[in-house]
This record gives sequence, structure tokens and C-alpha cells, in this order.
Amino acid sequence: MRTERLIDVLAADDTAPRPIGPRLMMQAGPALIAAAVLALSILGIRSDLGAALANPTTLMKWLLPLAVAIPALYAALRLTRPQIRHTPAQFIPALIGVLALVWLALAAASTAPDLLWPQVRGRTALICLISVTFIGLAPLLVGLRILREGACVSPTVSGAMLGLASGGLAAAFYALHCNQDAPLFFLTWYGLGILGLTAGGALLGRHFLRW
Amino acid sequence: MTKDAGQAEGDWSQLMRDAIAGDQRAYRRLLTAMTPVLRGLVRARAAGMDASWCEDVVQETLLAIHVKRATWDSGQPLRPWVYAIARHKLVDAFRRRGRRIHLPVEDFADMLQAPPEPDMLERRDAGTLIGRLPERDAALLRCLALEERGSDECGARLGLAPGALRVALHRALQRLARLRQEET
Repeated sequence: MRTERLIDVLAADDTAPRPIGPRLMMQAGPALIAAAVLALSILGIRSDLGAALANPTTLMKWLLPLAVAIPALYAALRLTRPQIRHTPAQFIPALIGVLALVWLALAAASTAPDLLWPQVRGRTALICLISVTFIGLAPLLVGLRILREGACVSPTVSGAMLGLASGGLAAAFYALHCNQDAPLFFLTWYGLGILGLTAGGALLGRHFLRW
Repeated sequence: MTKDAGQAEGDWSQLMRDAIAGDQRAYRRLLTAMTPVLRGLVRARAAGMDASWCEDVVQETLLAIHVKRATWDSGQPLRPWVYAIARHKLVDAFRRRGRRIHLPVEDFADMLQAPPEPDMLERRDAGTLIGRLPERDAALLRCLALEERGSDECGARLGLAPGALRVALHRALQRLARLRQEET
């Protein structure tokens, strides 16, 4: 193929390019909400939601996941541009993660050793982990399909950021149901749920987001 | 040989804005203006590789620029975006050859333009890649790009109305770009 001819052929394809950000919101957003509505319609919403939101410790069940998800989503979108190799926003989730670990360590240190595991385990660890993963998987998979049209130069990082965003938002939705308010419980299981989706996003991204 | 950077910058970004707004002539002018620059930078970075290998990287870069143009922020200058794509494609091409290289981004800022190779006719690589597309995509690209026939003639041959041909061409190019990636 002659290069000049390739240019002619490329110029003949006048289908307008579609920006990635709006498409991600319009497709992964509904996927997230559909999965969350389905999960919450089975699990139900906690009856004392108003009181929970007024309690600063319990409020962290929403604030921490959102503080991870929002910068991660922003970073995932920024990183679809090929000249952007990294962005400050991608380090914020790690910072929040460190803060959560410190809080977890402090909470563990102030708990009697024989109560530690019962507190961490709570009553609904498995449901929590499954729900967060289920809700987050929908926007992660839909979102990866869209990010694929981007030009991510670090596919693993891009996938991880989308996983963090999906996991964080999923945890925030799940918190509408979950009435286990011990920091030892939610820091552990929300954290593990989000990390699982992050690892999944990184692995899938590494493969699917190459171009 | 180097063009006045500021002038060229304005030109490229404006041409791309016009192209995205649907101006095909602006788009062709832009791609034509980019090609010698891309060729120059690929040859400068790929010393020791033959000209046809370099031209293949140039073509991959042009194809990637085309299918990824939605990732350019029209408020930003176009040139760094183009260099980032070229760099990515060059690294990828080297990786496929099993050669690892380190390319600092800064080195892409100033480079010479290079003239086209005169004897760059039938390219085996592009031909084999097109052959791996689904049959109708392959037939369309073979007709347009390899046999260099007009879109009317190709449309008639494949039984595609002009609108259907545009859709088919868009899809075929997207798939071709993906194939080039997956070929590793």
C-alpha cells in the first residue's frame, strides 16, 4: 500500500470521531446503576440510613470509596490520551488506601485480641464482598470496552484506575444496604472488594487496552 | 529543513479541528503534511532498519492517528499528541521485532523531515494484514487501497451504496487498526 493512497483512504472515512468521556458516562454509568438497583432490590436499603449519614464514622463508608473512585475515574479518562503518561489523580487512591490502612491498624490496636477476628469478620463479610464485586463488575466491563477506543500508553494502569473507580462506586452503593458500621469490618471488606476489582481491571486492561 | 515550529503548530491543530468538523480536504492536507515529519522521526530513531520497515511504522502511525483522533483534546496543540502516537507505534514495532529500545519523549521535539521512498509500491505487510480481515472488509480495502480504484467503482463492485460504503470503510479501518495491534 502506498502511503499517499493510505492517506486518501483515511480521508475518505469521514465518520465523526466520538469522544470517550461522554460515552463512558453514558454507558458505564447506566451499567453501574442497573447493577446497584438490582443488588439493592434484593438486599434492601438499611432502615436507619438518615442516622447513619449523620454519624461521622459511618459516613466514611461513603466518603472513603468516593474519595478513591472520583480521582480514579478522572485519571482513567485522562490516561486515554496518548501524550499523558501519568496524572497526579492516579496517586490519590493510593494515598486514601494508606490512610485506610492506618485507620485499620489503629482500630485493630485498640481492640482486644480475642475480639479482633469476630469484629473484622462481622456477619456479612461474604455478602459484602460478592455484592461489591457484582455491582462493580458491570461498569468495569462496559467501561473497558469504551476505554479500548482510547490511546492508553499504560494499559495496566488505565485498567486499574477503571477498576478502582468501579469498585469505589460499587462500595458506595453497597453501603446503602450494609449496616455493619465497625471500621474493622468495612475497611477490610470494602477495601478487599475494591482491590479485587482493581486487580481485575489491571489484568484485563493489560490485555484489552493495548493498541 | 525544519519548519517554523509556531507556524506549523497553528496549522496542524487548526487543520485537525477542521477535519474533525468534517472537512475532508483539511484532513488530507494535514495527513500529507505530517507524513514527511513522521517518516523523518521514524528513520532517525530506527537507524539500521530498512526503508520499507520504517514506512510500515509510518503507515501504522497514520492509521492510529486516524482511529484515535477522538483522544486529541482540541484545546491542546496537536503536535505532542502526534509524537506520542508515533513513539508508541515505534516502540510497538521494535517490540514485535524483539528489540527493546528506550525513546525519551523529548527527543521527538525536533527532527528532520524525510522524503518518501520512490520505490514503495506493493507492500507485502499491508497486503497480508488486509487478507486477515473479514472477507467484505478485506475486499473493500483491497479495492480502495491496494488496487487504488475510486470509491464509486469499489462500491459498484461490492454492491455498496455510497452511504453503506462509508460505514463499511469506517468499520474496516477500525478493524485493520486492531489487527495491527493483535498481530504480535
